[in-house]
Amino acid sequence: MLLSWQHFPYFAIPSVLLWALGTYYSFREKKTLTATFTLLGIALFFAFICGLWISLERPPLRTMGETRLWYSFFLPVAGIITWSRWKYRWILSFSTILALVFICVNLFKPEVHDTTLMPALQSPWFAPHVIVYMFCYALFGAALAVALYLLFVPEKRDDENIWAMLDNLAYVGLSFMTIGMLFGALWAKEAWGHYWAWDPKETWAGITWLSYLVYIHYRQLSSNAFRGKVAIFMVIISFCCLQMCWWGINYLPSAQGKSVHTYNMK
Amino acid sequence: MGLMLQFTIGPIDWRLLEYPFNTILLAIYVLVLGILYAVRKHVYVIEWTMTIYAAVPALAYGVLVTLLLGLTGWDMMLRSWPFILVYFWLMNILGLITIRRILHFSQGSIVSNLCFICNHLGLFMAMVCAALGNADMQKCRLTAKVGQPECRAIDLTGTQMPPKIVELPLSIELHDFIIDEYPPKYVVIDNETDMTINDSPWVIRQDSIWEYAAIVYGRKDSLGNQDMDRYVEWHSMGACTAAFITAIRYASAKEAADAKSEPLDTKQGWVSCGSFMFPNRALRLDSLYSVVMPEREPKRYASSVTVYMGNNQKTDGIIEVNKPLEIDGWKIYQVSYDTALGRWSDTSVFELVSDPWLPWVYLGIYMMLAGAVLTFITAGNKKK
Repeated sequence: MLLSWQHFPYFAIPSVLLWALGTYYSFREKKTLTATFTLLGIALFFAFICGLWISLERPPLRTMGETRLWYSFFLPVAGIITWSRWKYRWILSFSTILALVFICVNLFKPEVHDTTLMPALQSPWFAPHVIVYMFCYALFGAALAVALYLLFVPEKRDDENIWAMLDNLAYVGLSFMTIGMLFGALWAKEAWGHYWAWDPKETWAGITWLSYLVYIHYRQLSSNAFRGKVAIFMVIISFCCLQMCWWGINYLPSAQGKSVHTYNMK
Repeated sequence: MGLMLQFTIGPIDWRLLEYPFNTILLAIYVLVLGILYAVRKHVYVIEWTMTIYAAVPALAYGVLVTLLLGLTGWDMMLRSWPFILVYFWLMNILGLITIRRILHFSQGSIVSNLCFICNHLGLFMAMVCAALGNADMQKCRLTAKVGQPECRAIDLTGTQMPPKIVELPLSIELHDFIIDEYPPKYVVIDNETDMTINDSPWVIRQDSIWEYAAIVYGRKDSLGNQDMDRYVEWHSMGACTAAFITAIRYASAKEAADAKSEPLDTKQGWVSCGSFMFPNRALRLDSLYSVVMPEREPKRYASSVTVYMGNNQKTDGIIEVNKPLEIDGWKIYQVSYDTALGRWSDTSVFELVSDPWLPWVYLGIYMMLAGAVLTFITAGNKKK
């Protein structure tokens, strides 16, 4: 049987329930159960992606709806990796809720799902470029949550551990973003003849990249004075740039009709 | 300062840096960085430049200037002094701190030093070589017709208008231009607005299809009824795709999606996406809806070519999107074709790019990739 978006709820809803169970057990500090349920949910969700991939005869990475699908897949993946490495109990609840939001968008506002893939996108670079970026978006989403937590709970700003977590998320997110961006550059050379052409999407990717670099370097100014609101706002502003890069430029007047990256707008 | 230069000197012409000037400039630049590094202890500014206190404002300023470009979409920014100076300043910092880290490699852990050098030197190399190599990059557009070797191309690198025609050291002969198309789609549209209707009560079934067809117009019979136009298989130039379809109407869009309940009505007829020779054809379903076959989307387009070099050498090859052909330092890209003729196009448009500095930029990019992987591995260990 070929899978289509019609079958999405039958995969998405059980996945979310499994992730919610995983989250519940992470708060109860039951490690095996947390890992089992979360991974089961991830596997089920991935099964849908694979099924869709097969029935579309191309990787589902082109429309906004399809990238949201990957985003809701990578949030729990990033969540479970962060959880297993640093044992933050809250991280799974965050990744589950955010994944749920994106699943709901896909359930209630599905966009036209096209089955064709234009020649420019038919490249071995396509999947790694977008998947790595989606993973980095997920990590920066988590970084944003930590930053907002610090913003609204000022008494926690002296907690060394929370800052270390924010830094870790920023470092790992940035390393994925660098890889995604450079894959994009290598692909652009093969497809369009130049690795960096200041296309609006590229410009905004550059802005976002530099912006997270500012945060990382700012945080190295070691003394305690640099733990304040400035660092928090750097993460928040960087995340805004990231949104601009992801979907904002589709609505930016100065980028209209100029970007070669607008595949989903027809 | 950048703005002052902008108003006094005007925008920057990257072409001034053509070979060998850029190579000399690079040598001088690296030398100057070396000297600056050597005298750092005596000049406070240099010492300060190499601290993180200099890096943060430089990066922040870089964000700001690039943000301006992102918001305005004003391409002139790329040749403006404020923009160039920021990036030049960032390069200086990168260069100086990389020298320091390399010279003090024995201090600190090897992995973190390697990570640092890959990230910073990689970016330094990619930026410097991209900027200097820009002047040596040649980019032009060549339009080839089947059977006619062509060596003249339009220069795309210069800024002059109208663009210059250049004679290339190679010529391209197009043998065949191929388009593979996706299977046709059938779309229900609103009769009045021509807008696509995604939730119509009609289901479209394809009964038969001619990939290559010609139209046979019907005649009026003696009673004045219009005999139906039909399509026949036909393989000559100008043939279009035509399909005979059955449209089935259900009570609602939801029932149409399930296609289980009793259909209310059916309608049959030809639809075609047309070609440069034949018009497209819609099938009218009722007073509200019609069904059309939109122009078929290309799955792949490719040119089979022979490239002749000056020294009586020739190479055969296929050029397609995402698969450029590399010859003699040139990369040849498939860009376009005669879209008015569509699948019958006998011309193909190529872009030729030669970028002698590319390997150095790539080396920088690969170093940054390695740096990113190392950053990922070491991220958790630093502060736990």
